[in-house]
This record gives sequence, structure tokens and C-alpha cells, in this order.
Amino acid sequence: MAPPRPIDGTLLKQGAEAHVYKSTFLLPNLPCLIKIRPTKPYRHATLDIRLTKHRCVSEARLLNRCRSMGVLCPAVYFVDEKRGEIIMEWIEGPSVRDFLHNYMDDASNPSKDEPKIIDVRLDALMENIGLTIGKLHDIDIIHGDLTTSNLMVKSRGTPDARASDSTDTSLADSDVVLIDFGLGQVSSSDEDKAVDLYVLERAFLSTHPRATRLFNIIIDSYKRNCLGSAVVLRRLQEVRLRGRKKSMLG
Amino acid sequence: MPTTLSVPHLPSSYRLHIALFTSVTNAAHLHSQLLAKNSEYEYAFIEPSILVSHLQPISAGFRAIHDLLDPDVGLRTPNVHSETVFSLSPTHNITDSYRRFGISPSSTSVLAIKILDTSLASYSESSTLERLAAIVEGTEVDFDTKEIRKLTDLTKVKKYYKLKDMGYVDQLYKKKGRAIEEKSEDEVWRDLEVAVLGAMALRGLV
Amino acid sequence: MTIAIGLEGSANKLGVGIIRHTPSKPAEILSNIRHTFVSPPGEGFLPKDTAIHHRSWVVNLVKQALKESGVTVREVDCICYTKGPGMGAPLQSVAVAARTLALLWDKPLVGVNHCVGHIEMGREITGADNPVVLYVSGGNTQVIAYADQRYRIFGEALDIAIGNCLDRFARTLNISNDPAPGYNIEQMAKRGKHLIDIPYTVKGMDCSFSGILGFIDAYAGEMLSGAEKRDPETGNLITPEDLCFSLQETAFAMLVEITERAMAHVGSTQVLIVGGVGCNERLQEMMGIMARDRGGSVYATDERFCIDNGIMIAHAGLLAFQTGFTTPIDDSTCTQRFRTDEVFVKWRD
Repeated sequence: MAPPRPIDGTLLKQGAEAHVYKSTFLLPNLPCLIKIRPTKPYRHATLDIRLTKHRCVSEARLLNRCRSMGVLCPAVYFVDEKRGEIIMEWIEGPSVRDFLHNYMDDASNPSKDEPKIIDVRLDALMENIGLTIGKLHDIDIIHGDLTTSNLMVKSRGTPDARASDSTDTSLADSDVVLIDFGLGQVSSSDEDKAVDLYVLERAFLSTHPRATRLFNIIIDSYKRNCLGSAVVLRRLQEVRLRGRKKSMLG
Repeated sequence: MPTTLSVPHLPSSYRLHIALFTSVTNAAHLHSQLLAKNSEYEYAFIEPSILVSHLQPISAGFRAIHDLLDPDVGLRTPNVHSETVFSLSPTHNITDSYRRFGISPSSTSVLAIKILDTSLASYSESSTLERLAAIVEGTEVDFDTKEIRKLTDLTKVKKYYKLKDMGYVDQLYKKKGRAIEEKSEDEVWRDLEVAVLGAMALRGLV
Repeated sequence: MTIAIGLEGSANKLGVGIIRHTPSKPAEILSNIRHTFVSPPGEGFLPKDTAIHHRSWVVNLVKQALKESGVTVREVDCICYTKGPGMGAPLQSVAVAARTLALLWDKPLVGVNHCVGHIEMGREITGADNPVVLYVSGGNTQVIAYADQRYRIFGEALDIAIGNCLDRFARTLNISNDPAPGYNIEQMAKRGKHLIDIPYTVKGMDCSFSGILGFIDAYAGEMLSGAEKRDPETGNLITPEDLCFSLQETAFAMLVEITERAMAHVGSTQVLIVGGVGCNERLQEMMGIMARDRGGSVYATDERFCIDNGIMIAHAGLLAFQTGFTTPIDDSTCTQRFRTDEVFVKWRD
């Protein structure tokens, strides 16, 4: 592993797997995001190098494939796999997770309890998420870590026309952008796609326990939009059952 | 007018001097001087028809300087200028990259880049720019995306950067009879731009 | 002041424990004893034999626990037992014992979720207030965090549990089950040097161990049938110790990774490890390094509490009992499947 070097940028997030900076690429007015996978001292050095390099390269490849084939995700600008570094397109907007949390915590919003969250704007967002994941699976990409933190809401048009944490965005006019493909892979297997949805289901419902209805919109939209949805959703049933069965033994 | 710029994440003393020319008359001469390895002609002479935006050659220059300065990487070609041409390529084949992305004797437009470490005592901006403006015989136009796109050969770009799968999912859905939202011209160019930048960035990843 | 007796027997350990809760004081462990059914090397424990073991020991253990605690039957407020999850026959034998005691002594019953027992005992012993919990045992691999009155499962093993993976690997290598296969793997791993390349499977906050088991089983099988395996770098022979080492390093890295993801996801810096595999010192060490990097710390318990025991059932049962929860005799069944997030956690904010 090449030694890390100082990054010219603003540290945004020290996530579980990567450090994320906001910076610029090529020109002072072209914003970018720099993602660096730091070494993990808890794991064996050989394993660490293997995983870091593999994930960096694999993520860059998947982002490129995904974006190029027509599913929105950050474009790749530059890769330094020896340092586990990817420079990519800056996506302006909140994560779906923050978006939902803000929405539900918003004191001015009376509809905090799930049954009352009937808002066409939210429904449109969920619909869009289902469509986006459906497209992803139709190009045989498995995300591997579908959570609401890894889905962004990006408004179309001028990025600075709106505050990033505002819930007033016209959601009909926004795109869903997938980020963080570090655990992704190319696969046409129904099982892999079903597990991808299962991961999302569990992440979504544990993070937003009062939003079961919203999650169902995602699945419904996936069902209608994704060409291979019938088989995948049947498989999802099996994966769910397996999940319940697992806790058979204490 | 020629453009001088330094690039984020590289030492600020490294500068790219860039000029775009049309109606070029001395491409054959420039090409022969490159083959003769005449150091007076150590420039990146790029064939503009394979460019889709101004970011593309800057990104190639960035990669070339980056690799030059990174002891773990280093140049794969003789100098930072040939490396800039090579950095436009999505593959490892150096000869092919010169042929496809560098000028040919019959080129009628040329993008010229001179990369210099401006901290060296020998550096002079004015003489660098003068020489840049004079070395290519033709009409200098602004180095910007608008001028570049007048020269783009989309067929070549799609072939060289292997972009046949671009927008695959929309085409797939269209075939199935779904209504697909048409993209604006800007969006189409932007998609093309990032697809090309991505293909360049992924060169050599194993 | 309330006192509970807890009976646990969801797998091959039979445990009886007696606990006393006094308001605004730490819980007092009055007794905590255990008897383990150990199967011969190369064999797992079968439900039938395990149930026989539990039935023949439960009276002795209850008597001994009462004696050690100095508590009289009259002072006991409730009888807690493991409702599930676990193996059917052993669970049933202990449920019958608990029911018998309840009728004999005329005390209320409290059915307890085994996983919640581990979590609550871990919190009580370590003082970890609101940690992300890694629950790792022979039957479970879960990453859990508390939210809205439930222990929610953020991640888990999608196929076999880590403990099951270790146990089955031990069987392939004919490693002794005494005192526990995982313990013996841990000791052997300390002498391992070479890391062999094994499948590493993490999907979001979930992971998978069947690929590892299949790979390392095949690898060990070739080794045992006389094939020479060598480290590509040093040329040294790969030993069974190296296999144990590689298995631990890889599988535990996966566990630490999914735990870290969950911590980042819920914004917590504390991590609590519970369950039998939680005794493993290498796992605790790796988790500690990760937690320190995040500015937090790891909480783990020793074998008295992380290995299945009666006291955790008594403790979690008593917490529920104090909120008014009891299990009527008619409902005092047990269930092999009982997910951690099914329990309504009334005793926490």
C-alpha cells in the first residue's frame, strides 16, 4: 500500500469504510468528491490491502458501468488504487435517510405517525427509488449495500437553487442517485438481486421503523418497472423466510 | 487565446498551457517532428475530433503530471507530453493511443498542450505562450467546450472509448414499449463527457 | 427488592441463576451455575441427547443454585425460562422444569427471549448504556441496536452463524469439543502464522459464512488426505494452526466490519459483544481497535456471562416482570424461532 497523502479538501464524513472529502477536480469551479479507504488496523495487513484495493477498483468499475449504462450514480474522474482513492463527481443533495429523518422530525409537520404520512411528494420519491433499483438490476449490477444513506436525492436543474437539507424540494423534479458501490458486483443471479432488496428492506425498516408503507411503494415500483422483478421478488420471499429461520438455534 | 492553468491536487507550479487551432496547415510537419523526437516540438498535439469537452484534455494532463510525480507509478511513455496523449486512451496500447488521440499528418485541427514546471528558472510565461501560438500554423480559437464540440467526431469517440452500451437501460426499456423521457442536448453531452472521463480514469485497473 | 430464578437450556448448556434487583442499585448475582453437555470430537450435540442431559441435571442445578444463593423459595418472586430461540427438545425440557417449579412453588412464570437475555445481561455487567450489540453464538450472528422499544436487527449472517461455522470447522479438523470447539480453535490460532486467502463475504450490514466453511473444509480435507499446502510467499507448509488463524482473522474481520457499519449508521461509539463467540479474545481485541478508532470503546463479558447461562434469563425476565409482564401457564410454550425484534422492550426508554 502506498503511504497516504494529505488531501486538499474538506473532510465531510468519516464513515465506516471510507473518508469522504469535498474538493475540486481539474478546475477550481468543478466540485468533486474524494473517497479514500483508510487502512483498517484491526484486520490483518495482508487482508486489509487485498480488500482495500479490491473494493476501490471494483467500485470505480461499477460506478462507470452503472453511469454509462444509464443509471444515475457519481461519474468517476480519477482512481489511485494504490492509495484506495477515487475522485468522483459531486452530487448535490441530501441522502434519502436524512431526507426522511428531517421530514419526520420536522416539528411543523403534524404527520409524524406513519399512517398519516401520505404525501404525494414522498410517494413520488419512493416510486423513483424502486425504478432506479429496478434499472440497476436490469443492467445486472448488485449494489451490495443498499441503505437509505446510499441513496441521494438530487434536484434537477441548478444545484444551488435549493438548500441541501430542505424538504421543500419539488420531489417530482428530483433524481435518485445511487452512491457507494464498494460492496457491489456484476451479477445476473436472482438470488443476488433478492438479497440486495432484502438488505435494503432491513436497513430501511430498522432505520425508519414508522415507514413501512413507504417501503412498500419502493417494492411496488420495482415490481412494475424492473423487467426481471417477478423472479427476484419470488426469491425475496425465500430469502426473508431463510432470515426468520436462521434464529432457530440459541 | 491560449489558456494557462494549474490543476487542483497537483503542485501549483505545474501549469498546462493550452491552445486550440482550426484550419491547420502544418500537421504533417508537426507529426514528422514528433517522430523525429525533436525536443523543440515536445508538446502534446491532440486530435480534437476525439474530444467531447475541455475537461478531457485537462484530465489527461492531470493524469500525466500525477503519474510523473508519483514514485509508485511513473511515466509509461518518454515524457509528460506523450504521456498526456497516452492518458486520453482507455487502453494500455501506447502505439494505438498516439495514432488515435494524437494528431496525424492529415489533421486539420490541433489541440496543443505544453506542460511546464514554472518554478524552474528557465520558465517564462510569455515566451511559452508565444511559442505555443506560433508552433501550430492555423487559426487559433478559444479553448472551450463550445469550440471543441464543433470538431467532435462522435462515431470515432464512441468507437475508441467503447461506448456502445451507453444508455443501455433506456434503450432496453424503449424496446419493451415504455415511454422514456428524452434527454436534453446538454444532458446527452454531459453523459458522453463523464463516460469518456470514466473510461480514461479506469485505464489499467486490474 | 425483587428476586428471580432463571433457567436456560436452549443449546448444550444448562444454566440456573438467581438475581436480586434493588431500585437504584446494580443487580446482584446470587448464584450462576452451569452444566455443559460435551459431545465427542468430530460430533455435534444432538437435540435428543442434549434434552436428556438437561432433564437429568436440572433438579440438581436448581437445588445447588438455591443453596449457593442463600435465598429461600418463599423469597423468589418469579421463575424465568428461555422461551426461545433454540433447539426444540432442550428448550422443551427446560420449559417443563420451569412450569413444574411455578406450579410447585406457586410463582408466576416469565418467558424470556434468549437473545434479549444476552443483551440485557451484557448491558448490566459492562455498564454500556446504549451500545450497538454484536451477538455471536452457535446459532446467531446479529448486529443489533435499540430503537423505539425494540432491539432491532441491523445486520446478520445470511446463512450459518459464526459459532456454527467454527464448530463445524472444528469437527473437520477433529478438534476437541472440550471445553468448547471455539475455545480450542482460538488456542490453535495463536500459533498460526500464515494467512491463507479465504472468501470474504460482506453484504451491507449482513455477512455470510457458508462460503468460508465450504472453502476451508475443502482445504482442510485436502490437507488431511496428505496434500502439501504451502504459503506462496515463504514456501512454508500450511498447518492446521494456520487454518484456525486464517479462519479467525477473516471471519472476525467480517464481524467487525458489519458492526462498524451499524455503528456509523446509528451514530453510536459503543459496542457490546455478547454470546459464546464473544469470549474470543482476538475478536474482542479487533473490535477494541475498531471502536478506539471511532473514539469509543468495546464492552465484553467473560465466559460466566457470554456463554449461555441462567442468570441472564433471570435478569431479563425480572426486568420484564417489574413492568408487569408474566407468562400464563397456558402460554408457557417455547419456540425454536423467536426473533430478537419481536420482543417489546417496555423497560427501556
